Amino acid sequence: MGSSIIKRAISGDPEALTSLINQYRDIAYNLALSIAKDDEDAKDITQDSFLKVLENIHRFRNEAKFTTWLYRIVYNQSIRFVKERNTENIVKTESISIPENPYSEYSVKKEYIELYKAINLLEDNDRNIILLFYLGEKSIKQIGTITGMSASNIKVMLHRARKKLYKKLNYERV
Amino acid sequence: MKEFDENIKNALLKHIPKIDDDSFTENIVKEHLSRKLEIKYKPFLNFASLIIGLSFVFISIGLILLIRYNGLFIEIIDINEQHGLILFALSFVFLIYKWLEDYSTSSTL
Repeated sequence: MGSSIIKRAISGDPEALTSLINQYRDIAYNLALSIAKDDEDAKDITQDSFLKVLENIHRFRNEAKFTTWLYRIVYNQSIRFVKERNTENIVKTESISIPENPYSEYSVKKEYIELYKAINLLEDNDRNIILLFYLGEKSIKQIGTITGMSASNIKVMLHRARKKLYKKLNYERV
Repeated sequence: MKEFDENIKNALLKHIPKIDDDSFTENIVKEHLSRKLEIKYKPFLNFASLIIGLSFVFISIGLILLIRYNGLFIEIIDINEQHGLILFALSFVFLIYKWLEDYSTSSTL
């Protein structure tokens, strides 16, 4: 399934390209948003990153490799963008919108909302690692490839981030 | 996976902001396909680079022939057949380099 969609995307099949982008665009966008802190800028970064990766899609044999490169480009582009913009890296927690859906089983669970708010209060690097690990389903090694950090550093950051979330939600232990 | 890990994942899945622009994906696909088409119809090498590279190929071949059949003329400016061969090889290196520069996409990653 994974490699066949890549093969179809390489040949320029618009349906496969659409499916591939739709599947990963929100994670890529959230990674960009987490660093750039601006909705429009994050969308631009995501769009540019997709175009760069698709240009080189023939190099990727599977989706795992494709997404690792996609997130790496999003990460680097966002960092570069923030440096160029030369603004302070402040977490704008007030801009986080929590979608309300009365029919959703999850929205009933306030714990998820509290957890999401807590994730957004984490430091930038910790939050990015949480995003990539849980949402992007990337391994420690792959997160290392994306962020350029060492595996041991990522392990420490991930552990620290989980611990902070636990504390916020009054869990007993990690 | 522990319950806590599941909760983190679900909290993210449920609450992360989504791209609200319906045309977002469509625009990327269109742009990608138009770029792909552009590359497909690109000549194999930039015209100016081709002219410069080929000129040097012909100059070096000429130089080698001159040295071989008119050694006296060449001795005045102290050039031998090996210099001609070096120029010939450099012309090819230049053509290959320009081709890689125009078409290699590795730098974008």
